[in-house]
Amino acid sequence: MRYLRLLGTFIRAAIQNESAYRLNAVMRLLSTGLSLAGGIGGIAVLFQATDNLNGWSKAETLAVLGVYMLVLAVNGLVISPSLHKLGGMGGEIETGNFDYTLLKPLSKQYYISVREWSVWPLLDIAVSLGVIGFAVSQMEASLTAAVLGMFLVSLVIALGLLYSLMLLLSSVAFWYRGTYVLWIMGDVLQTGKYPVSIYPRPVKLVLTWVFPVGFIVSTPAEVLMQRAEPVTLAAGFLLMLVLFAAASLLFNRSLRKYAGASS
Amino acid sequence: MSVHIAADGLTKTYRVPVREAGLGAAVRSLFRPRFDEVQAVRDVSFQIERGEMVGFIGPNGAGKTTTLKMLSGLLYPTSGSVDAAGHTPWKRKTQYLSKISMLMGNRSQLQWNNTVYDTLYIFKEIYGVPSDVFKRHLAELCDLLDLAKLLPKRSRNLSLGERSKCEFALALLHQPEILYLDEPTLGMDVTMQLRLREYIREYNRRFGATVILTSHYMSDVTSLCGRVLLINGGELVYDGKLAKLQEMITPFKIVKLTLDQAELTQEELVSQGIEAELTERKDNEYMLRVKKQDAVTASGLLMSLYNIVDFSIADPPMEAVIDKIYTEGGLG
Amino acid sequence: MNLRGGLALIRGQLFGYLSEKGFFWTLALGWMTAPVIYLLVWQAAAAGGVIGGYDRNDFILYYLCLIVVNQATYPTTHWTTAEHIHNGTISAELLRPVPLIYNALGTEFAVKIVCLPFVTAVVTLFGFGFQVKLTIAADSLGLAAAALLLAMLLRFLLAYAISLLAFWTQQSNALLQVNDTLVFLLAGQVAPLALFPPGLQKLAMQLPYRYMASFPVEAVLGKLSMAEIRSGFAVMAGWILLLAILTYVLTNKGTRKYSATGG
Repeated sequence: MRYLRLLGTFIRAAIQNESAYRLNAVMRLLSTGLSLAGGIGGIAVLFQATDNLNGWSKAETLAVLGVYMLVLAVNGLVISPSLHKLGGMGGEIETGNFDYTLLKPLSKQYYISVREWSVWPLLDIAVSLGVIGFAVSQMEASLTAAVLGMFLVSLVIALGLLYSLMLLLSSVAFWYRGTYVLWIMGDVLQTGKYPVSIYPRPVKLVLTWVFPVGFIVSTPAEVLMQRAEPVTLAAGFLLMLVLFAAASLLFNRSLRKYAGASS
Repeated sequence: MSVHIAADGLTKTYRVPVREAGLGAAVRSLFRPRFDEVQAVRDVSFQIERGEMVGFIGPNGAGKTTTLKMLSGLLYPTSGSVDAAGHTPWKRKTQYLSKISMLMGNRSQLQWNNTVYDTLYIFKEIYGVPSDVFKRHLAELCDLLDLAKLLPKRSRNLSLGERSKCEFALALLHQPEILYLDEPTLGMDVTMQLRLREYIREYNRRFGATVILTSHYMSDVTSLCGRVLLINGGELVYDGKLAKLQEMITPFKIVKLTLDQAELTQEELVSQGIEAELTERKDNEYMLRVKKQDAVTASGLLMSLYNIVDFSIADPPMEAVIDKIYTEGGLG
Repeated sequence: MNLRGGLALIRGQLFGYLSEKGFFWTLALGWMTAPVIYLLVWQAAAAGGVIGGYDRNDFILYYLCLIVVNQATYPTTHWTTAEHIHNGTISAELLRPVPLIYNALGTEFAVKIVCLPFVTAVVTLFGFGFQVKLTIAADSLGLAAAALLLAMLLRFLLAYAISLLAFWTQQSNALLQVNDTLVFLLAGQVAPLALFPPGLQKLAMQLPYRYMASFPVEAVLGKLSMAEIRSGFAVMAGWILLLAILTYVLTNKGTRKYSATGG
């Protein structure tokens, strides 16, 4: 209960913080508009030349883009700001301000995962939902409640995977200070703009099992198209549990290392 | 009075990777890293009573901050134990962390773009302070630190002095019963140092909090702490009253006197049988160093023999004492 | 002109960056991801035949060259310049007996010298991996080299001019972000400009962005007629002149304002 209240406090702080910058609002709108135009434009140009990309139609590729934007927006809403504050450039591990965090009387993993929010990705979430809706309306299959439910489940798995990966990468900063591995994540995620199955086989394997962009973006889109196999969802869920456990373990080991309990 | 913090045999050894210069050594160290052991703190034991204000002093790298970090729970010791307010600090139990606060002079907790009040409110939630208690604490802080007009300001618009005041307020919001202060006055000008000291003393007096302080500025320690722990080379070399430490190190008094006309030379002092050493002279002002046990007789003789305009007798300045310890490395 | 001072700055910064090359190579890998994604997407799309005058081999060549050009022209200092203006570190730079821009130029050269060999090596490996056929005419190579140098200058000047706005506003970072997005969209990263719809293509030819990355690539691959190359250089020179004047004015006004208000 106290942890829920805390969540509200952090979100409120983010909104108050945002009101400090007014020009930012215009720029963020422009930025959202541009990335939307770029994403849709890129697909439009691509499908002018061909009507099938390794078995993906235009509407289906658009759905992938929508899911990509949605996942990215949720990431930008809380996961990325919080974890960058921990292990990013000028983050607490680098400045040593983590000393203060370590002395806060609450679960450290919870605290570092949810304390920083950014308001503008809410707009991105709305836009991405619009893109997904449009893409689905262009498809032949109609949407049932069951499909929608499965889609939500696959999204939860996707975000769980993303969070675990981000936590894993930011915990690395405890061991090798000054390497900003967190940055790589944003770049790798870009591969999710297009269906993973259009990439050459070795790239596809890496994007499924090492950096599971496939599970994070392509699978939810496939669920919408009613093309996903239950086995895929189950595999994604299992991978999420493994990664989450590994990330939590590494984070807590890192805390002990920070406090000098082990080497 | 009861014991609030008890440390027993506290030891911290760091393993530091070492390698020789050059590429070959760098590659070799990948496979077989070599480590040097550095003992930062060695077998330190002490007890601190509730409500005491204690200063850790010692030269740079002596182990003060390492000790403080072990007490607050930021560092695990290699061996030894600490009982602080009934807890083992490095387990970092919520109950313990809610009872303490640590203020580091070189680190900031303020949120740049938020107002001071909003930041305080976030701290209220983090520390789980109930709303009515928060209101009371906030009122007390406003009274103590004269904070009210800073509350609606954004942190980035605060002056340096206002900022340090707010950092202090954040540390005190949950009314910790133990306050660890690591170089709290770092980089402040003299006026600000004086003010902050006043706040610390007042907080200790009002709430009976235990305060442990490390500082490079000797005046922080002399003005706040009746008791000091001198740490040198990782070892506790002195634990007791500051005044007594001074006596042990420099068993002298400094006598300053201004004479009406006559000249005073070392030869004359000897011939008059005054046990004193002339250390400085400026016009007709003289400075003498006198052994403590001779101070009374020497002063009496001086007064009876010379026409004295001004006379004072005092302990040597604390800075000089500390410098003597730091450069000579211990209590000899 | 104090050339020796500038050279000393470059040398000093080069040594600094060489010691952190791991960090910059990570960054360089990140910058490569976007073009690599579009390389993979387009080579998949062109598997069936020629699109807009590009066959599969052309697309791969185009994007491999674009990676190198993008790396060569990507400026890094505008972020730090804006940051230095905000936090006041610019004061120390203003006191040096060399023009303010030398600092940025020195860093630019240093980062490029550290990153370019690495990127070129990776691109060459990709080339062998895709077994591309490479035929380049000597005269187009010369033209492309000239275009590349001007592209570096153009892209740097635009970003630097925007970063100087930090003298007036706290939020120049948002503008820099939008500028980066525009480069991404209009400099031929999403698709070669030849594939753009005609209206957009015409606009892109007049804006400075095309000349920051895709123009040298098109020139080296022999995709442009002599007349197109000539008009391209003319547009480019116009933008460079304009931005150089703008940078000069902004530097003067900005430093004057800075010294008047103390930041």
